[in-house]
Amino acid sequence: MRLITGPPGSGKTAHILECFRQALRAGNSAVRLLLPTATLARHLENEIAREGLVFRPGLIQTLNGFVEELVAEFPQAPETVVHLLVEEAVARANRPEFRRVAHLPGFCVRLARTLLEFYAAGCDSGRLAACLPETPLAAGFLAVYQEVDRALGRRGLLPRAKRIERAAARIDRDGAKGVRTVWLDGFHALPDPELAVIQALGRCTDLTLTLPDYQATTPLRSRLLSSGFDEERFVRKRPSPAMLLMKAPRIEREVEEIARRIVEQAAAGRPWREIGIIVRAAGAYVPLLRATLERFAIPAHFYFETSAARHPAIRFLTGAIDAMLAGWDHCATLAVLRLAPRFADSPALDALDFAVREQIPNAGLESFQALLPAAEGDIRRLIEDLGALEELRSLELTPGEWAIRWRTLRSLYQPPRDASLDHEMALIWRGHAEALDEFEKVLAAAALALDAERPVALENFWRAVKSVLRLQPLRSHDARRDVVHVLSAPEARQWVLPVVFVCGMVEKQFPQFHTADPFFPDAARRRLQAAGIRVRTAADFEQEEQELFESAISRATMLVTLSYPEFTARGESNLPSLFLDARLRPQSSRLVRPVARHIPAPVPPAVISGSGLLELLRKKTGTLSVSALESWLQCPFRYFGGNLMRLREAPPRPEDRLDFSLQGQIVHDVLAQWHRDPQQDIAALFEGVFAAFCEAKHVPQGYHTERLGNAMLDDLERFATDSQWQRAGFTSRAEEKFVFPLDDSLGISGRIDRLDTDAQGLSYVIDYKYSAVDQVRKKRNSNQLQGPLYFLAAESEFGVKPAGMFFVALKRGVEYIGWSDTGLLESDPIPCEWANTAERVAQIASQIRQGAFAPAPADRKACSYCDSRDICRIEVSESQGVGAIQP
Amino acid sequence: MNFTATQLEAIDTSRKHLDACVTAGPGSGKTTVLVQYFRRLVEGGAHPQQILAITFTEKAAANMRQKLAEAFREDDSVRAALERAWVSTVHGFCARLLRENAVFAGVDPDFYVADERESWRRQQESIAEAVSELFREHPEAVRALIRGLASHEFESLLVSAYDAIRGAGMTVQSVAAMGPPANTARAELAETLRELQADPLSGCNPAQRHHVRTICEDLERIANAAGPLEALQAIESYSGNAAQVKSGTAARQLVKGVRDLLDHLRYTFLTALYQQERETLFEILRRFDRVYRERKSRLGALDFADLEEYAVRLLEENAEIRADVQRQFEHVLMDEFQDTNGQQARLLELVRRTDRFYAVGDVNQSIYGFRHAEPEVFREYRATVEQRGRRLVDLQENFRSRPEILRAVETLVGHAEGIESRPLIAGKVFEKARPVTVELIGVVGEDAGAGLENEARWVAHRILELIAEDPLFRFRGIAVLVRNTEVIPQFTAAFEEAGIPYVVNRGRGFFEAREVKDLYHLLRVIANPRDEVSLAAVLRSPLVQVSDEALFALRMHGGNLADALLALDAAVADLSADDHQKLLHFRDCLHGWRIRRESVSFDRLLLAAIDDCGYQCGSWTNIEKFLAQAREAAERMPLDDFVELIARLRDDNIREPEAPPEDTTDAVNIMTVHSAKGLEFPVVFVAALHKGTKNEASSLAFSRNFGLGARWRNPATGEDKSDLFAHAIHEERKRRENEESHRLLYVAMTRAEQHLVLSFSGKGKKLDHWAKIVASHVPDLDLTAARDEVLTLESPRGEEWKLRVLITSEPPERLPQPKIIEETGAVEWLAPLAFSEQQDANATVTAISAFAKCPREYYLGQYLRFEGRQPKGIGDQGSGLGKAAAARQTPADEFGSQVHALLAGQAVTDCDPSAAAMAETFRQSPLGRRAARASHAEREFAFVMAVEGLVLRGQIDLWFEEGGETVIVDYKTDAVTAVEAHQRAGEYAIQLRLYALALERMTGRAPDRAWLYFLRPNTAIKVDLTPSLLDSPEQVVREFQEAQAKLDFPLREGPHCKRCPFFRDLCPSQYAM
Ligand code: SF4
Repeated sequence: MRLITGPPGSGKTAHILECFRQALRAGNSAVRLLLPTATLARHLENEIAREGLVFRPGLIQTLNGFVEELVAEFPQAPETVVHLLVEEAVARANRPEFRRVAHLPGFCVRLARTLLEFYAAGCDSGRLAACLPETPLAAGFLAVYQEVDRALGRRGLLPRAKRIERAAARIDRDGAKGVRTVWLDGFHALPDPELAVIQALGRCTDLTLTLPDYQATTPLRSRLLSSGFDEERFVRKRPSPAMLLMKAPRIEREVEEIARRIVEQAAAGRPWREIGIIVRAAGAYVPLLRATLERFAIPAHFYFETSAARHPAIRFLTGAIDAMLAGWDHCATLAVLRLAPRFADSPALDALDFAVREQIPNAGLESFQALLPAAEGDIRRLIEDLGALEELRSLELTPGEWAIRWRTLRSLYQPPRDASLDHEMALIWRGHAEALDEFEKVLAAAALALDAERPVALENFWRAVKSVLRLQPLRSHDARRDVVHVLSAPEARQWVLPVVFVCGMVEKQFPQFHTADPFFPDAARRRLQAAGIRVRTAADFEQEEQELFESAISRATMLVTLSYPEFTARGESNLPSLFLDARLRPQSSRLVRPVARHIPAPVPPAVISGSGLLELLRKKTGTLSVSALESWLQCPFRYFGGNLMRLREAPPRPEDRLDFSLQGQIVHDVLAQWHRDPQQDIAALFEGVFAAFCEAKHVPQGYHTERLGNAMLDDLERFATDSQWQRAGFTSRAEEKFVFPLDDSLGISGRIDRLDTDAQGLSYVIDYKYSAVDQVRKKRNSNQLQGPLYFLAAESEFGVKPAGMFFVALKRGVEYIGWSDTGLLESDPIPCEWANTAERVAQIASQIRQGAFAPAPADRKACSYCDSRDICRIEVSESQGVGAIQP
Repeated sequence: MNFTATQLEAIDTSRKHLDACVTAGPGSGKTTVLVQYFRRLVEGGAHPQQILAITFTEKAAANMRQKLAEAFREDDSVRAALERAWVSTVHGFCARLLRENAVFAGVDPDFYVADERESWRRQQESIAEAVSELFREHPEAVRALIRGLASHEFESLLVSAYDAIRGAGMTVQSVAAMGPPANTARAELAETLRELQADPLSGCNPAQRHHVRTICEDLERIANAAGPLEALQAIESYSGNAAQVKSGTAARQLVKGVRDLLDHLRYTFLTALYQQERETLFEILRRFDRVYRERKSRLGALDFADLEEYAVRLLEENAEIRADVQRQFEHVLMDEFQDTNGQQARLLELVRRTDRFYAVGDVNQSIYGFRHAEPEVFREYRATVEQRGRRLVDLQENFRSRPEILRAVETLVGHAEGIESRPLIAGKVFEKARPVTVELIGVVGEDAGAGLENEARWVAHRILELIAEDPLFRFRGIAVLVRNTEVIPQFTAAFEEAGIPYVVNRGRGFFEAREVKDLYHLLRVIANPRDEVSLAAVLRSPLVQVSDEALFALRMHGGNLADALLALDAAVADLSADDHQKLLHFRDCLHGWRIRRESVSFDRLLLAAIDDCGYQCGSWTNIEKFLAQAREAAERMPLDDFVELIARLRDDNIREPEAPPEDTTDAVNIMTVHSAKGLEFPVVFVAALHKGTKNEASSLAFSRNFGLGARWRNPATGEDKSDLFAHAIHEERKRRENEESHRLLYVAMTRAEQHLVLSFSGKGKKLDHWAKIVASHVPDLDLTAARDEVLTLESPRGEEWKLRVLITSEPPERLPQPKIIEETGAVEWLAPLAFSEQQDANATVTAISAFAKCPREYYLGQYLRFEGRQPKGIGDQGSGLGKAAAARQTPADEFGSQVHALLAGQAVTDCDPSAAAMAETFRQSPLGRRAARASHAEREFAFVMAVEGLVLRGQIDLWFEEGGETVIVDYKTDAVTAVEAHQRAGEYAIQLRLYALALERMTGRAPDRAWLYFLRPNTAIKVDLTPSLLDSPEQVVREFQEAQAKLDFPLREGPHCKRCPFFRDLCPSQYAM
């Protein structure tokens, strides 16, 4: 057994590869080159094939793969299954010390993680029991561990480490399947089970193992040497790469600067594949790198796992089952359809979406389908296919049968018909197929975790699937050759590239901060180590970080650029990593953006000038409502958006359906009916109207509705008993609609809430405002049009002599605010400007018809209530964030 | 570094084993002191991990860590130890403590800390659920509450009260148990009544006597009322009027006091009347507490209050852990101690040992009452330290401001209520003297609105003058501090008018920033373009920039705006070419974004949109903040939910600060005083001094001292009125806010280093708020006449200082716009490079073969892995999911593998009999027999080789050497007839040629023959291995790579289309059978 040690770049791998090549050239296939990861194995295989050699694929493989061939008959327990078993074990063990936390989602995850660490270190529950350290949670942990061990035994499953141990035993017994020479390269840490296999191989083959010189690998080296390895030391050959440090104000700038430097390299002729980015803090960097590299059109392969459960294809499948289990809740069902790629840009689905939202909460597939126009065959078919799932609900099948049945689910996930894709979309689609494969694995794992013989109901199997899925990672197999490699620091250990970036060199990110294990704190771990169980301590973690860093900066053959952001997103300063050499002077980042793919034309003038459109505008404004005119007075753009264009928003949320406008409608409706017969009980009347409106508008019942209803009723009752207006002295007509011609080209429309006429024939226009008094008082400026136009309508349409006009504020108090010549209710005299109303309105109409609608609010405060406030781009309140000077 | 005597005293570690209280005035170098103290402790032998240093903000913690790292730059081991040192905010400390003791703390070991936005959302959902639940169970109780409570929107108030309860370290239960504050109104009523009745009313006339009798009757009615409702009604019918009682008499005095008394009685009776409803409120709180906790625990989330609460609980419940923690922290250092709340104070008590606490603070800078800070904690601690004869240090030197500024502070607010009067001693030496460093600008006029606008113009004017005057002043060194954000628009408008660059630190709110709205509406449009408001907003935004005319034209097209956009073609009348092109471009882009909507994160959609549209905007930092939110949300929720969440945040007017600008921006900072805490600027304007904040009595309020108070509808009047709790809280709050307002002014003024300008505007002589305070200390300040003069004032310590006073009613003259020097460096625009070699690094031989047959079929089936037409399964009527699959005989691919395995001599479990038969057919065939006789045969022979740089993996079913020939055989299990087999053989030729190539390279000898063996019809077909120029393996591989690189996979229509699963579905082939 030969151990080759040496610093990075000393030619260890090159030596091994040369030996391997020679064996191939000699037609020797009794050799194996064993590596720690599949990516690396694939990478070397490709390299060697490109050199022109043809060989059998199994000759380069992972240590795991090699073991797999030896112990294929012992099924391995996937980590997700172990996790599921931990959940069950925790429940069964029911330990008092865990009672408060057992139900929390992260507890079992954490426990499973620690447990897997023990397994990996070759320590099962029996071995742990023999040297259990004295720490408060150890006994509880052990109890769960024993349960899990038993559960695995019952299912005939072996944890990975156990299988490796078996493989070692088998090699000792039967030899290495005819393999005579073994090289192992790229290993940094060798847990006990792996070490056992290597030693077994060493006994029956000619074995060479390489180990890089890092502080962290020193203990392993000593172990290897003491177990019979002969050491050969390689000295450094490769020259050190140039090293740069770069700082940027923020993480976004940092990543953009990396992109800039990559583009610079590529522009100078370097293939993308010769560039790597090493990331330690994946959570912070990976999504941002994805976005940024994509933005700068840099093709990149991310060697990172994502969560399978978050993949859209899997969300679609799980969403479908969940929706079914929820009785086809409309929201959930809609969410599933939204994930169907075939309808990602479907106007029909958009329309269905709004139709559904207008009625939620709701459930049931039939009522859901009823909202879909008949012509939408494709969507209907998918809904029907989903409906077919219903048949499963009554079944009881064995887990294996369930897994087979669910496998065909993937056919529901139909690709879009238009398959002309760009590289990004193609990559996405290839990812979908991988995700669907992964889903099948999840089904198989869930089946493994359950009792194979016992039929279970759908819900039970489904629960197991979801539990497995929660932790199931997904790895993209981007096979493109010429891409920048974005790697985690551990993954990068086996790579060598000309140009490497190491980002996120700040405190707590690199080195990463490891919190203590809640079950076995550091002291306990040290005791376990002393007992021969190699679980990691804080010192090990720290050493590992150091090793990762040393490894990261030695990955480049030419240039390594370290970088860090000076500030956090909240503007707080970051502390540069302690690994950074204080002598390195940081370069500053530059401000860089990709050239836009489209240069927008200058902003057009805000006037409608096309003759055809002006003609249409004239037609549309042949009749103007009083409220439209008032809206124009407040702001031409408000009129444009709200009255002329009548732009519709997305349907409101159920709890917002009873909004001010609907409340106003209800109050008006009640008052109109009540005035026809003021003797009737307004409360009873209100209840009826309110209920009818709520039903028609799908206003959900609940305290919120109750509360608003209460308030409205209070207001109505207050009004009904209010005696300011002597109703007995008038005859009333309510809710009178009118349209009258103002001149040849303009009609005015509106609706008078109430028209009261006294014995002398004097009429008063009453307009209810379901708003608070303060708001209504604002109407008292003579600029308004409603009063005079109602006057005109009263005269011309209802043949009465108007003597006054009152707004009645109804909310939380009754107040009459208005004008009259009779001085009724402390009213103001009728303004003389009212006499010119016809001309004013004609003038406004002509302005409207000129087609200029630039925003110009008369009252800026009213902008906050304007539905067009986000369209008009007027600054409603405070001004712009960073005050770039406005030209 | 030179330390002053008091600083030396503060950092003296010889007394490290004594509790210490360091009062650190503004600019007194407290961070330096803390860092030095820490440093000396370490140098004195303490391990960094034995020191717990707690700061108030993340910023301060980062600052401290940075300084410590610098201090120990040379000492690697300490520097490394500092990585794990306990230097953080309270929340940071709690989080770490909880993580390390999760199981004992009863928290999820993998918990994450929910940010304020997320917590807000969960609270909203939880309160709605809690109230709905109670309403379902006890509708009458909730109805009564709704009718009784003054506020319609009580949920958010309850949630704030809940937060406050937790901040105070209390529980809903303990608050519910609190009785009303002491109240003597009833006793006073009885006493008043008794005294009035006993009063002989001497000297009163009969009318007066009669009036007093009536009063007595009224009061008796109140005192003897049957219940609170009757009492309240009786109160309203009280008709007494002190004016009708003889003046100068005791009776008049008594009657005068009755109005106040009645008010108190109202509080009392309302409290009694609404006792039940009050209980309902607590019931809602209890349920809310439960629901909210359940929701969080389901997700493994903790909010900030949880961190504190659980940390306290952990230490309270676990004596051992508490002892460990106390043992671990040899020293506990706390910054800004005056800002701790009740819960935090409790936590510190649990963490620290006696005489191991080192607290730094300044009551005069306590301005976080609204966040439940309790400066009393500091005062009490200081008193204890003093009593126990421990270390008290008072850092009075100020190393920030010019002496005149400090004198101004002392003079103008130094003695105001709530400020501990301590001298501010100038400690910094300034090189150059400035003639006047403090100014007061007052704009007084008829119209308050115009006054504020002019005040803002004056501020802008003075900024320009100051910049011109002193080359050391930069825009970025100037801060305009305001108390109330309402006035900010006037200042930004004035700055825009004057050409002054500015940054609003906490302005109108992030979600209302233009660029954030643009992107938000874009996401809404991607989610569903039928939302016409969003679509119109996007179309008018810089993303598209179409004219209003175009919008109108689209609308006139009929139907929904989105439909019109889709139906858009060249024929839309009256659409300018420019608009038309913009709309078409946008429509195409929109399609592209929409098909990616669930597959890429939302930030990527937005970035694509920004680049697709050449979007230009105001604040890129805001965009980045929004992108970060979008990125993070995409990990957790679908697009629809995200837009819904933002909609809610906007609807509820959640104040989210805008993104901090990049440090390099040379712009004036406009910010609230609160956000300026801890900062300093060469020039500070404290503006709009006249503007206070609204202090309306809230309908629901909590105080640690009085519990939960509410305002109720007085049934006797219909008006809203406080109960006893609310009344006491309101009084307490008024006091506190008054004091805090003074401290706020103190903090604002002490931010200035070189120059301080105070400004206000107003109508007439009457001044409000800070303006009033300031003016009251400027002798003979005449607001009626315009003036510009320099006054000499004297500080309380007898030192003179100069104040320039400018009173005006006019706007300033306009100054030329300043020249802005771009410091950040211009943007470098980077053109993307052309993609190359986007093909795969490897492939299988069968893929090449499939490609050769039809590139499109390969593309759909193998490259994209679309499934094509399905073997009927789910959609199959009546078959049920998977039933078909389960019932089918061995599937084709499985069958094929069995045959291949049998022919390779492997054992097959559950073997299909026909597979065995088929294998046997081959064995008995002439070719099979030849193979059996062969001198050398390889079965299932896998290989890796590279062709044209593409790494190919393949597996030869069989090759053998026999009779001096090398022969390759490939079995096919296709269900074909013999005739069809011959037709198909051509499709497989390339595969066999590649096998031949591999064998040739491996063995050094080209194979002589190759056979395709169709097992079903039992037909062997010979394949010609001589490659033609057109379809040599190399050529096909080249085409294959090129097709992948360009994503161009042409159709190769032919009879095989019939077998293609994509025919007449995903493939546009028109091949006619
Ligand atoms: S928000 Fe104001 S400016 Fe904009 S359209 Fe509405 S009223 Fe006009």
